[in-house]
Amino acid sequence: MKTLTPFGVTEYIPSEAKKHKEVSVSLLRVFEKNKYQLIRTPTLEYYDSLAPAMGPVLKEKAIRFFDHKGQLLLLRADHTTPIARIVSARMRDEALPIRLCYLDPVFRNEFTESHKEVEVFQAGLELIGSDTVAAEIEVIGTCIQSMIELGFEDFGVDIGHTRFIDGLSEEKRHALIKGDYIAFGDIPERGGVEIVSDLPDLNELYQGLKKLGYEKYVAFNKGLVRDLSYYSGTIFECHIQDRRQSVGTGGRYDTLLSKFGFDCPAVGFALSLNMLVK
Amino acid sequence: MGTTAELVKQESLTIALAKGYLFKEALILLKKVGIEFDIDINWDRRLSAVDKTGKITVLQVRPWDVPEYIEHGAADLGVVGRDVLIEKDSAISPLLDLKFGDCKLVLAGLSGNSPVQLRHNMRVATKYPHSTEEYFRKKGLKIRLIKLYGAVELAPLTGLSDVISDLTATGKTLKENQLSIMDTIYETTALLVANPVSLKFRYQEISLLLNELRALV
Repeated sequence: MKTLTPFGVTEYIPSEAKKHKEVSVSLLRVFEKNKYQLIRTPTLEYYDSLAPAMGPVLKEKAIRFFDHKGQLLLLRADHTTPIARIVSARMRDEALPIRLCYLDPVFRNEFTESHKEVEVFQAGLELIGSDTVAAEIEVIGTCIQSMIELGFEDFGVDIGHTRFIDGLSEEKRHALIKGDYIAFGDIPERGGVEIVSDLPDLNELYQGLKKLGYEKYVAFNKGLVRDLSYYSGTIFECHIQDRRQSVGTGGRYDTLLSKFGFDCPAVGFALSLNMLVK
Repeated sequence: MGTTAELVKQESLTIALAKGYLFKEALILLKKVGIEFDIDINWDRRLSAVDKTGKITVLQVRPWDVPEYIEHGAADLGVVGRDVLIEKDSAISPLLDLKFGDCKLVLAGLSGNSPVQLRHNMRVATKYPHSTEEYFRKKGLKIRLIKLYGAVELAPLTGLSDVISDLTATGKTLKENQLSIMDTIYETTALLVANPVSLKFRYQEISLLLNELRALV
C-alpha cells in the first residue's frame, strides 16, 4: 500500500500539526521564561560515543545502522546522553549552572504490541552543574508549571529516590525495581511528605514546591525506584489521571557527565509530546 | 493527593475479571470484601455491572484481554491468571496472589510404551507461543511452533504436532486425549493486577481493598 507510513511513525496533517505546534510553543515558552536555552542535538550519533553512558534498556531500543564507512551509528534515542556529550565537549568553560532545553523527536525500537511509537517527540530540560535541592525544586517546579500552562488540572507528579532501596533485602530490592509487588509483599507506600520524614532533602524539596503553590500536585512514592545505574538521587514521574498514562520522567543523574570526562552533577526531565497531544 | 487531605474521587473503581474458570471464584472473593452484585444478573450475557454500593464496576473480559484493558487504563484493577501475564509480558503491576485457579502449563505428548523424546525441530502446538519458546530456548532446543487458539489436546492425536504445551488443572482432559504430562513449564494462579497510574491516583482505595483481600487469601 503506497499511502501508508511505517510502523511506529505518524504524519501530522495541518489540523494535527497545528495542535502539535501549539503545545510545543507553550512548552518552550515556559522553559525559556525560566531561563532555559534551546539546544539541538544531532539526529545521528556514533553508537560508541554514547553507548558507555546509556542504560541497557535504551541501548537495546536504539535504532542502529552502519554508515558508508562501516561505523555504527544510532538515531537520537534520548536527549540527556547527547547533551552530556556536548556540554562536556563544548560548554565546560561556561558559568555553572547551565540551563538547557530541547524539543525534538527521539527514536526507539518498540517491541511490545502496546508501545507502538518509534518516533517520540520529547520536550525537556537539563539543569547542569548544581547538586542542590534548589535545583530539584526548580526542575520539578518547571515541569508542573508546564503542565498547568498546557491546561491540565488532573495531573500529578510522584517523587521517588534511589535511596528508597536502602535497608531492603536483595530480593525485595529486585522485586521493587521490577515492580513485582507480589514478590515485594505489599504495594509501596505512597503519600504526603510525612512518609519521607527521615529524608531531610526530600522535606526541603517539598517545602520548596509548597512555596510555589504546587504541593497539591505532588506525592512521594516509595515504589518510584528504577534505572539505578542512571539516576543518583531524586526520581520523579508526571502522569495524567484521565488517561492513566505517564507523560514524562526526570531526576538527578550526577554520574552521567563524568562518563564524558566532565564530572558535573545534573538534574532534568523529559515530557513526551506524543502523550500530551491527543 | 499528596497532602494529608486526599481528594475523593467520585468515579467508580473498575475491575476487569477474566471470563471462564476464574470468574465465579473472583466474584465470590469480591463478595467476601463487601463487593456484591444483584443476584438477578445473568453473567452469561452481561459484560459489565456496577456493585450495590455504586463504587465498583466489574467488567467480564476474555483472559487474554485483561492486560489490554488495564494497560490502557480502561480498568484500574484486574483478576487474571499468572500464565496470561507471563505470556503477554504487559506493563501492569502484579499486586497479590489470590491463590485460586491453580493450574500448570505443561508439556504433554502421546502416552504409550515409548515416551516422547525431546529433540530439535519438534512440532509443538500451543496457545502459549512466548512461554513455550522460552522453555525450549532454556533447553537449547529449536522448535517448529504451531499457534492454536483452542482444543490444543487434539493436535498430537491428529498428527498436527509431536507434542503440545497446554494449561491443565486436573490433567483429565489430557488423559482423555491420550496425552501424558512430560514436564511442567510453570505453575499459575489467579493474580490481582493494577494499572500503574491507577495505583498512584487511587492509592488509598486500592491499598484498602488489597489489605482486605490479603487477609482472606
